[in-house]
Amino acid sequence: MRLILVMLLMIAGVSFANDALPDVLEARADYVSCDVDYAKDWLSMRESSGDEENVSVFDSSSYVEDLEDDLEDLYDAAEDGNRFSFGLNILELAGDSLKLIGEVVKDALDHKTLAFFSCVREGEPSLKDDRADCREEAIDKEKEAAEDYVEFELDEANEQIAILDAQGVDTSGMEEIVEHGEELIDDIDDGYSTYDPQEIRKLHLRHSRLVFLFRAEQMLGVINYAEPIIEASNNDNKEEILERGDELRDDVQDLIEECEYSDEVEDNSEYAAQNLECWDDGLDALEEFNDLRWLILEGA
Amino acid sequence: MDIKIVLLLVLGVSFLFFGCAGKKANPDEGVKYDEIESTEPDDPAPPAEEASDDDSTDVEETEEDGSDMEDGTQEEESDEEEMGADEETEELADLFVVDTDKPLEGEGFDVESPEQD
Repeated sequence: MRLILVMLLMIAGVSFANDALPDVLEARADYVSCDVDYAKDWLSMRESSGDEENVSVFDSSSYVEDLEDDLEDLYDAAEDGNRFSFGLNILELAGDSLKLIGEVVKDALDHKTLAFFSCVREGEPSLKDDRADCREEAIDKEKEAAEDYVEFELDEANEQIAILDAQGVDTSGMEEIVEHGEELIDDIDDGYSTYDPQEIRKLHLRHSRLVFLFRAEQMLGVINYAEPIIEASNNDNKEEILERGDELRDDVQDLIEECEYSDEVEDNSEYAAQNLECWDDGLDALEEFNDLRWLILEGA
Repeated sequence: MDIKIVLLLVLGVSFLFFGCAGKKANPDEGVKYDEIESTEPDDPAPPAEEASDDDSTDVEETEEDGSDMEDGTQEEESDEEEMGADEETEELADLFVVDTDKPLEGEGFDVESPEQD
């Protein structure tokens, strides 16, 4: 019974659900649908150019159907707020897009005329304009959702800080990260107003780093707080808890130094690579931290 | 003869009068007596030895009772301490929970459209 209770607490604690997540995912699905719509319109325009120039073009209907199915799945995942499924659907859609592109390239080499290519090029600008409008709408939608998303996270973070602070945990590191989070919210408007995916990605990368550092500071604060309590306790696993806690503290301190936050993202790829490294190494630390919980309960 | 009768009557009346007056003055004392009487044990006091035995028994019983109570308190305290320690442990363990999910990093903006190739 106690084990079940602990498991439920673990699930409740670990499964952090942000109320704004479905809106964020839906806005992204909207953005993707702009590309799918563009692809459909472009293929349709290409077929018209083929008819106009008496050039045969391949039948793209099955590819379009695949993209539409993928998009439907993507919206379903967004509605459910299922990030895992959303990510898989994105990959599926990207794979089907590549298949279509391959088929278009192959078909372009199959008895086409210069007049046909010219016709296709002439039809592209208006389609691109439509797509840009569509993307801007999706980005506006995501901006609102992103603000809600980060605000929700900051509320959660502040609640967590209040709980830990009441226990006597040093939360100064966590508080500092929350301050950076508030600065991030202030930058969301400017970032999204550029309608440049690379600029928006900078916000995402900064956010990801902050989330990691908040958890790292949380771990550090809790380990430091728990150490003397464990030392004074009669926990059967006392020695192991203290030893592993000490090692974990060193690792977390290193991670906090290595993953130092900067609100200046010079190079998206470089920042993303650092984030990846932080999360890869950090995941081990996060899991070890959660494992200590079991060790404490087991030795009680 | 008449004087003797008169004297006897006077004495008789006087006796009756003071007698009644005395009885009228007693109720307070009577209440006091009743009160005192009610505080005294109904049974006569036991002989010294018996009283001593009873006292020792009482002491022993009291000691036994006392030790029983002490054990009970210790057990209760021990249970409470254990429960308190369990709660403390669980509270402490509850702090060791952190979300392991990596946040989104702009997924959805990387899909290439056909014209880009």
